[in-house]
Amino acid sequence: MEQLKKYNTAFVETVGVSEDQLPGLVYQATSGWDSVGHMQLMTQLEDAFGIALEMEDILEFSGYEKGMDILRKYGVEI
Amino acid sequence: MNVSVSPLYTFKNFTDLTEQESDEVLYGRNDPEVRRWMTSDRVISADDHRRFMSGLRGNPHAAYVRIERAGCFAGVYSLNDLAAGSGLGGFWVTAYTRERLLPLNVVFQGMDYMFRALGIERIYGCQKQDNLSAIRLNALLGLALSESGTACAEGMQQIEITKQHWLQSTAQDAKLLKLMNRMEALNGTT
Repeated sequence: MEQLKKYNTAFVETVGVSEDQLPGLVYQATSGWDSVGHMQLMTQLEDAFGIALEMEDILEFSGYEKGMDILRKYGVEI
Repeated sequence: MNVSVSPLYTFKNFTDLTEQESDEVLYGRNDPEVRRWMTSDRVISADDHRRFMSGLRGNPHAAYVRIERAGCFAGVYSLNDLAAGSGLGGFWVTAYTRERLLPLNVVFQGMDYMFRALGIERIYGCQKQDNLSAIRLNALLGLALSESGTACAEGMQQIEITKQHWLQSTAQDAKLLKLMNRMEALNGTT
């Protein structure tokens, strides 16, 4: 639950949407999740979970749910 | 890697471009993935492009700079209506730059070049009040709402930044530099 809270907070603070808008959210579907927002989201997730994402995973991080799968590769279970 | 003095980036005034570099600018600007972000999405013809480029020669009121990252064309930063060291800023980045999440870095480099190399004292612009993307990018780069100067159209806000603010604040902003350095490291030099 704590992990989910951190994950959602990163989205809310960088992409600028409310938590209830997160399920199904995909990259570039909202003006807040543009390339700059994506950079901010990735670095906030790295800081929040103490990980360093690979570029390939950053580029494949195409949505809210997809991101959970990617973080699992880094030992982060949400 | 310190992004603010990164040797990865090189700059060339439009008036000094080779034919190949100039063509690359035209093709980059006409890419549908670039045009969709522009105010006008019309395709620019080769003739119009050449006329525009030759019109820049001897024009003291405009400065257009082609930016390369690691030897690859990355984007353009421009100043128009240049007068008394102050100019209207503008930019576009290539589709590849956007794909690699480097727009912020490229625009930062363009502005840094204008202030440091060309000695510009103030950059201003207009942003749509509801364009969250632009508002965030401009805020990250230190462009703040202006209360004086050139008026913007209805629904737009005037923003500006001085060279002093750039050097003392934006270019020293640890959070911004960390964000950009991370993207530089991820992208490497190729």
